[in-house]
Amino acid sequence: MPNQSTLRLLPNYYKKIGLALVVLTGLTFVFLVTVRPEAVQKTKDLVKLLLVSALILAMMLIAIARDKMEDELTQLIRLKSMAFSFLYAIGSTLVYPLITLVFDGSGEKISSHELVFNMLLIYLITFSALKYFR
Amino acid sequence: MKNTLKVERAVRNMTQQELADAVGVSRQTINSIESDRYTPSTVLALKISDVFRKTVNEIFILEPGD
Repeated sequence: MPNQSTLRLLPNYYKKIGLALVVLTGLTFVFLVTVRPEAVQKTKDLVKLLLVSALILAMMLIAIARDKMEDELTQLIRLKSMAFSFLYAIGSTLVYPLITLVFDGSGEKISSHELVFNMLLIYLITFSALKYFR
Repeated sequence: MKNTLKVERAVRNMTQQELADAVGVSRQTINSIESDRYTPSTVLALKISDVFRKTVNEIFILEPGD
């Protein structure tokens, strides 16, 4: 009987690749800040963009890699976490401009990088917490 | 929905891990089903009842309000 609840996920070893990428990004950041601080200062926006992009890629690999024991309860937890991070995205998209409007008068919207980064972070935290307390 | 999983396991002197291995899920999933925190899918309910050689209705019992 075909299992309709099976999500198509990456193999488990992609989680390790993602974690390695997080560590590598962290080390690159520390290296740049300690060894080449003047270069970081000059290309601040570019460095930030590249590091955040690498972290987003790493977290996405961790998020969509299957667990060692992926079963229907894990998949339910996955879907709940995705729903939670989606609600966060809607909430922050609506609230963020209001906050910036009140505090600095700019009414600036949340950037796509920031939004995706926060969504992935919230997904991973919720997924781990729900899995721990299942 | 309540279930008699714990009783059935005790009768057969089976651990949660052994049942989990028999039906291909994690031990935590069996624990969640036993504690009524999770209602299994039809496929998993059939697999579990197959392990105990009983019908699904004998293991999973509907309660008023379900």
